[in-house]
Amino acid sequence: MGGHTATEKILAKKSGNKEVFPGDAVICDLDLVYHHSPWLAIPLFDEIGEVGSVFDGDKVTFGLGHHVCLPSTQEYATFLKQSREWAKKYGIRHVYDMGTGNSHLLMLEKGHVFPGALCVGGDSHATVYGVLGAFGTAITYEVADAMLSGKTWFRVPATVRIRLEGATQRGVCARDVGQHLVGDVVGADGALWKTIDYTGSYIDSLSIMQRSILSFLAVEMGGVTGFMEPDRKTFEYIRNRVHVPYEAEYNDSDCAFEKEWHVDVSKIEPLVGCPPRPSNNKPISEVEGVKIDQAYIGGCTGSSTEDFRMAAEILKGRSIHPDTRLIIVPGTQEILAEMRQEGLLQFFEDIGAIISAPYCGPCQMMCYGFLGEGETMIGTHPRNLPGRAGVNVNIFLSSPYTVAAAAANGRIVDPRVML
Amino acid sequence: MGKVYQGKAFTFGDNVNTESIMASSADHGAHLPIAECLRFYDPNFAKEMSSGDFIVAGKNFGNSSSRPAALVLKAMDLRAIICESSARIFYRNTWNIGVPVLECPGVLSIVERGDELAVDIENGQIKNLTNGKEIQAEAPIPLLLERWEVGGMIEWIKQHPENYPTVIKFHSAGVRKNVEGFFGEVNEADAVHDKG
Repeated sequence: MGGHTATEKILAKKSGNKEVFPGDAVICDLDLVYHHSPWLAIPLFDEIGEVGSVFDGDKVTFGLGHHVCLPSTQEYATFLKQSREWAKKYGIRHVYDMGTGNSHLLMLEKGHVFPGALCVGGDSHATVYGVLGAFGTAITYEVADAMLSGKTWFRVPATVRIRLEGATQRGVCARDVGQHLVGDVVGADGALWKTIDYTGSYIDSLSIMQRSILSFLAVEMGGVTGFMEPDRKTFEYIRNRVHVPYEAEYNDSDCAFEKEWHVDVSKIEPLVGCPPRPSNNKPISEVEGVKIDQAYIGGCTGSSTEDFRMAAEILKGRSIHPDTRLIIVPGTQEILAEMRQEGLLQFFEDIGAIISAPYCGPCQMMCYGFLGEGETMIGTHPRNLPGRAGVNVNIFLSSPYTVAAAAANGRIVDPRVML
Repeated sequence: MGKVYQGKAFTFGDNVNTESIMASSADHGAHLPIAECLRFYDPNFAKEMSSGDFIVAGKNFGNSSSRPAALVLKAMDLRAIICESSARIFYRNTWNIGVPVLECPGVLSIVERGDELAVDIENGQIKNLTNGKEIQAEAPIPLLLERWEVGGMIEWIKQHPENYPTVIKFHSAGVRKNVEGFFGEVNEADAVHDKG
């Protein structure tokens, strides 16, 4: 009898079973139910009946400032006002409003996610909660159900393992490693309905924020969650953030992984995810010269202080190309404060970048900063689907190094020659 | 034998994403983006599909954003989706909204756009009436089938009050308060929802 994966152990514990196996459908107790767009979920309460409150006012959270750092339409302004009223009415105590940041990062920063937790969010990138050793994933329509019952069902996923070894070249970072996995190793559906378990010396070497890029990208490979076993860095990160008791879960040494990939990250070159989908990778040499109207550093997969440090390394002593605009979107207020302390805000201000309040960024048309018809953007964010950030636009995905290099040159260039 | 539904097939390839089904470029608040639905892959789909028709698609259907894209398909009264494989969030949302998703490896090889299908959703049996070929889909997850059979998640919740201690009063079955906002348009479609 083999052992169990961490996913199986978390889902067994939360469903009150001694053990569970891949393929089992189980109903589990939840530690977090998060939504950035309560106007999608709460109207369903009125369809069900008369609701007194959510199941637990500490375990249901709203991230109102995720997509909307400042509303630009009457409709969104009203949605936000309604959401604040709903939070009061239904006893939701943790509301992260406009300007607080990308709410996935806030769920990590503010201690809502912890090792061994079972977390759901009404957003596909909820896979990121795996970065702290939680099982985190998205449900959307069923968020209304979960907010009231405190439970949801899961089909227990098998686990695939990605072992990352070595160190990246200068000018290459975790965003490139993630792009390599999405486009070249796993593919858009290579981890469909599976837990992705990241391990290896490269993971060990990264900060929690850089690791989170890989956990965010799990969904772009079809993954249910982007899990990492908690280590010293995890426990350091959650100290002073998590204030509830928790129990970390690890993979048993004799558990079965359905598949295992080994990647030597030292061989990875700067990569660009090209239209029309995130997995459409091209090496930088094949897209050099593409003219860029808007360069964007921010979003789920590029808005931590380290990402902005990388961009500043490239842009130091240079200026932004006159035909290109550079948008900087810090992930959260905590990151914004770090950037201020390090002089990064002053740096980007001095070179004429647009510095936004923290939110999820101009990645789709519900956020501000989308593109004019026919324009081209390069960004550190995770998605480039047709229609997402404007009508008939071209969106390229890459690392902060490559985005900064494009901002300086007005076209895509290899960032390594600028370091 | 479960109930057999008949309708026309509209075919799509691999990796069709939710952005294409429910465009974020559309005005989300007041209207569902029906005219834009799947335009990138088949510009005539929204115009040509009729109530009760099927989508037949490749691998990883409904990938990417977790938006409840099936609200658009539900409002169009699509009967079901039959795909080689489905993205997970889309699969969950879509059954709960009241549109079944059958995973059926090989289905694209026996169906062409415009073929007439007869589908037993409960048992996953698919027959192509145009060319006579048959194929068996994977069994739907029982708890999702149960929700679909009563008319979707909302109706199921109303029938299981014991799971929802903070709900003071439940509307009776079939009654849905028509609320202002995002779901306004969908509720009208639901009001005539055929539970069979």
